[in-house]
Amino acid sequence: MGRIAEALKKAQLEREHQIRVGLAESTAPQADRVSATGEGPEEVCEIPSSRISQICSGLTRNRLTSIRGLGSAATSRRPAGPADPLPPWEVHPSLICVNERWSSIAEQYRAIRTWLLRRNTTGEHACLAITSSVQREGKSVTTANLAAIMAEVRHLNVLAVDCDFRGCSLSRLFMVPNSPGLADVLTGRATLAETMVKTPLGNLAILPAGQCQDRSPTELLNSPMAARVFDEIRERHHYVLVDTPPVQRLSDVGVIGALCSGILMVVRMHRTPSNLVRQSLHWLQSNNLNVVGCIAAACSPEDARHLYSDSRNDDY
Amino acid sequence: MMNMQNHLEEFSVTDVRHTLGEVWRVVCSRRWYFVFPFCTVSTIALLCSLWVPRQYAGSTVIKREHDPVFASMAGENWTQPYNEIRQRMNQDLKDLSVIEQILEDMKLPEGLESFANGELTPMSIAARQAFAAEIAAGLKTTPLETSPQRDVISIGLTLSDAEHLPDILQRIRDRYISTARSKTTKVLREVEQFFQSESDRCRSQLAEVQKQLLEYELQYPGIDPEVTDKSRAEDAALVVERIQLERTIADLTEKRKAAADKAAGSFNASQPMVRPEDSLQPTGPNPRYAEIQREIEKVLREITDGRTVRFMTEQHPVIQRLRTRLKSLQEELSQTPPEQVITAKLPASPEAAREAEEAAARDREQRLADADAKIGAARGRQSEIEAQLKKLEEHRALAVEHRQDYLKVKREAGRLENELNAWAQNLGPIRHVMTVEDRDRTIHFTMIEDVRQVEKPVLPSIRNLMIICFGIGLAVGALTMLFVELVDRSYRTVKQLGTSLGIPVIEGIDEIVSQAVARKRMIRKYFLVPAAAVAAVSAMFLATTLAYLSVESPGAYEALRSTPAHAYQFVIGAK
Repeated sequence: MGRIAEALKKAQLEREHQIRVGLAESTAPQADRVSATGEGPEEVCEIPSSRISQICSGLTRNRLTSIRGLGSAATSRRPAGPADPLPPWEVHPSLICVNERWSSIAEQYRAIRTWLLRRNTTGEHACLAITSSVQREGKSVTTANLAAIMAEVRHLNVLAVDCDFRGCSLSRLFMVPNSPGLADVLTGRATLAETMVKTPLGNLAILPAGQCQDRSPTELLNSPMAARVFDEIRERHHYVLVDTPPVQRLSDVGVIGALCSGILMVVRMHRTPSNLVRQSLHWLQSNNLNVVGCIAAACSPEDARHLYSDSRNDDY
Repeated sequence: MMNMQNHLEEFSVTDVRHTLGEVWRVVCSRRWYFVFPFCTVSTIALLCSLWVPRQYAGSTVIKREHDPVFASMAGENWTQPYNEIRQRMNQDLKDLSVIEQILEDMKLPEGLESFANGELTPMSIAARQAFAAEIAAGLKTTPLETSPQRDVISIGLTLSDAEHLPDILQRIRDRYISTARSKTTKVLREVEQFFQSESDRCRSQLAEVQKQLLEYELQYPGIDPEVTDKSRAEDAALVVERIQLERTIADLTEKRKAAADKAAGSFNASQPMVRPEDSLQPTGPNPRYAEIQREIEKVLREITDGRTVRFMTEQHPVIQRLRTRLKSLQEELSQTPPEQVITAKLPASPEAAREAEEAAARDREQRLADADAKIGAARGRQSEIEAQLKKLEEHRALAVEHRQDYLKVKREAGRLENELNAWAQNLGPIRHVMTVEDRDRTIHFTMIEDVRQVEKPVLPSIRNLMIICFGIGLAVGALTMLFVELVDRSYRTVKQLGTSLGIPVIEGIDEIVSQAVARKRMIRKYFLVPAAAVAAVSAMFLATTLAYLSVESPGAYEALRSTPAHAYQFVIGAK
């Protein structure tokens, strides 16, 4: 127990240090920082993998502590005052990782972050498309929350890109204007620096969808400009999380997936028909897209515990 | 081996546990999909059961026994009517015509429309027939005790009309008893009628055949070889008469010749005068000859009567004696002269002698004339006899020609007579038995248990009703739950998701709900759904109560139904 408490304390101190560093960095304009240095990723890449593992283990313990408390109990453990460095930020209530950072759901997102970080031990820049089979499965909420939780790791530059030109949910969740956005960049009406929206979290930026106007989203995504834009934003950010349209409705995700390094599928439990999910997955895999995993959304707490006990029972 | 068995047991236990866990998960997650359909359908079923026609049952027990005196008197085979009555009991009870007649007497069903002349409308007739059919379908007999000569039978009737059920059952029972009592009589009367009809048929056929026979006999006398031919006697008499006539003619011819010679000699003086005794003397009819003829006729008549009326054969002693007598009489007749000489004194004086001679001459002439007349008459008669004999011979030839046909008809007549005698012999015992039966010595019925007034319906039974209604509810609830579970093809567990997709499931995220949604869900979970469940269960309880009362206590149910205020009081009182 003593070792665990010591590790938790160490992780908490590390996190506070990271937040302080992030706040110091956030005083400078993010776009400037990205465009001026252009070495952020390299700096991040220089972080030793042991360091990342240490951070991740600390985060995992935090999550475990939170999950053990379950719900409000976890929220009640929220550190007060200086321990909560997040400045006032008005976002949609669904952005639970911003509004209730110490809730059990935030911990579940942290678990996803841990999984992603552990998978990326070499520190490569990752661009992940987050999609689902049908609408209203929670891919935009997952993208936003995951971006926010990823941005908790201050040395990671995170960008949330809204590629759902029809839904434009990401801008609503972060409560930022939808235009100018990616569509404007792809049509040449704006530059990336003009379209990226900074957030109070200095290492998190948002790229809204923008207005396609008379161009179709598929046409825009299939243009050479799109590849160049994605290459550019992937170079500048450690993690690019792309919100995409559903697989069953549009084929945009096929184009977007090709521009990304991997795809995360969001499956809404108790609602999405399993055959549609399998069909979507089969479609993605048949297009040689790298589906790295799926996220079960809208689970009941029992299901979460089930997974937790299944996957990590051996650790205890 | 032991390890493998342990492995199998562990696998089996795990499998069962998994199945039970799945079942429990489905039951827990889909409980409202079961509860609400169960309550709703059960309530509807229970309420619908209030409109299910109630069937009331009544019964009566009778003892039926065969009269031993009657059975023993009529013989062993006379158990047939009793057996037939026993076998046909159901058919007799369920005879629609009888039931319709009973319904007509009771003027049921009530409220039937009729025409001005009192006849029922076709619709009313159909309604009555339907009611009769319902009664017939509801009639049931149950033998409680059975033996060859005695039965104890329970007659039951299941009907929707509780009010008229006892009366209907009582009338049906009474009608059956009277029908069964008349059943043996009916059988006997049928048999008697059959025998009588057969007898009449034989009699009519026999009369027809006898008529043919009579026609044959009249047309061809002597056609029957077994009966003495009347024409034979006539023939014999005619032959005899012919012989006599020939003899008479011969005598007369001879006498006339002698008389004519004598007369010629008397006118010749040379010839001596002959005495009247030597010449043609005065003669008169011989009384003995006439007497023998009468005797012969009498004997012939007796022979004819014996052969025809008394059906005597030729070998019969009486006939033989008569034949012998006839033969002797005919011999005597042949030896007896038909006339005899009348002796008279001759006058003594010549005048007197001349006068006497003249008188004798006149007398001779007269006698010659008479002899000629007699000879002529005899010859005429002889020719008549010859004609008659010829005619008789022709008739006899025709009779012989048609004799085969006659004999055929006669054999048919004999057969018919035998058949007629057989039917007549059978009719005797039947009439005897019917006489006994008319004195009410046939089948006895004793009432053991009379029809009782029914109060509670027998169908539907409350147990079956509850089982069916709640069974339907349970089935619908379970099916709804299963249907929803089957239709819901979404993923239920993270494990299931990972197994199905074959890609890693990174994490399960709880549902993010707003405060408003959470509040709504809480209200729905802790207030609306329980309230709805309580309402559904209450409705089901109320429907159950009504269904129970409608079956177990129809009076209370009708009171509740007629006045809702009573229902409230009942509920308050029940509380």
